[in-house]
Amino acid sequence: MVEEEKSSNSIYIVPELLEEIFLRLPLKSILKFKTVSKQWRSVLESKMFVEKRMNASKSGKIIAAYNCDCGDRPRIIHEARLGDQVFVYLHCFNARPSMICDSRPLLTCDGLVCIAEPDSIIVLNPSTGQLLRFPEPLSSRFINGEGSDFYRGNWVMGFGRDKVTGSYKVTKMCLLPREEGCDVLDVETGQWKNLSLPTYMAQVGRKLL
Amino acid sequence: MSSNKIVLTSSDGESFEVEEVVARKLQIVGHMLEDDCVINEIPLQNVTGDILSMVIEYCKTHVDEEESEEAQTKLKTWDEEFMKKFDIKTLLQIILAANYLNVKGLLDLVSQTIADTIKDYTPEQIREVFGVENDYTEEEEAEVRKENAWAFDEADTPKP
Repeated sequence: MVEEEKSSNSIYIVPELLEEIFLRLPLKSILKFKTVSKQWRSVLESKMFVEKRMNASKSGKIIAAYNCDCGDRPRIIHEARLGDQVFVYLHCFNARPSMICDSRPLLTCDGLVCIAEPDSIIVLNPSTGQLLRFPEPLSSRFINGEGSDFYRGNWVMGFGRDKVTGSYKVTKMCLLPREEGCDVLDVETGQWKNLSLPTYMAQVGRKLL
Repeated sequence: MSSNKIVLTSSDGESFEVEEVVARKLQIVGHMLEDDCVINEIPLQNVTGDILSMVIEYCKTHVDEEESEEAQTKLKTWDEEFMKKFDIKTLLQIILAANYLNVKGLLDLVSQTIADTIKDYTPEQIREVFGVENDYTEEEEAEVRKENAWAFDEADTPKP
């Protein structure tokens, strides 16, 4: 065959065909094969491939929050298979005001989960167990000082994907008329950005909580 | 549909006489025929005889794709049995041929079979089969491995 070059032992597969194969691999294999070579990694991590795969994947996973009193922070404990369903267990601390029992939001987007903790914001990928922790934005750190639980209900959060840059973002803003505006966290860079609200948004709805 | 015979010739000179309806399953041939040339013999430069014969076997089986569930199930079983015959090297030859000859059904089938075959391979095995050179330095490789440690964790421990 024309494509058969390199060594006689191996067959050169053009990138389009490699992608066809990659799209049909389970996630675990995809992560593992990132170590094959830089070229394989760049294909497997490319935005185009990730989007194609997201559109193609059929089977979902079920995330189960596991309430525990050990005092540890939220984390993924493991994955389990029950028939065709895959469960991901999320370890939560029940004594801490958590997303299960009160208004602390648990936000999701494309299978990612965003959890607000009293002093930080967590974004985690239940499929890979990857967990990122970010500090609160400066403006709410100021309010969230000691004994400020009272104020917490005055905040709303959002979590979504920026269609332009492709990165996931967390937004946080205060419901009370204040001057801080809205804080936006870019999950990819880990940077908070403060945006001033347009003047017509005098009263922000409470629906998000 | 006329039962015209068409001769397909492989890169190594092997000839296969097939019904026109079968040959049309190879879209590359279909396009040539649509141009209305009267062709009886088609040379296929990029595929060897042993691989071409397998592609033809697939096309013969799939020549009339019936809608009924029973027929579909039967075809699916045949597909599975058919794919079991090949080792990874042959599967890779078939995917190249299916792509070149443009046989959509076979391309899907063989892509899935390859994915199922290689999913548990180690990166080392992958490099060998696909002829990929490891261009990571030792440190870089360790770093990527660490980032994706979860994927190298063999046991899916059932708990809690």
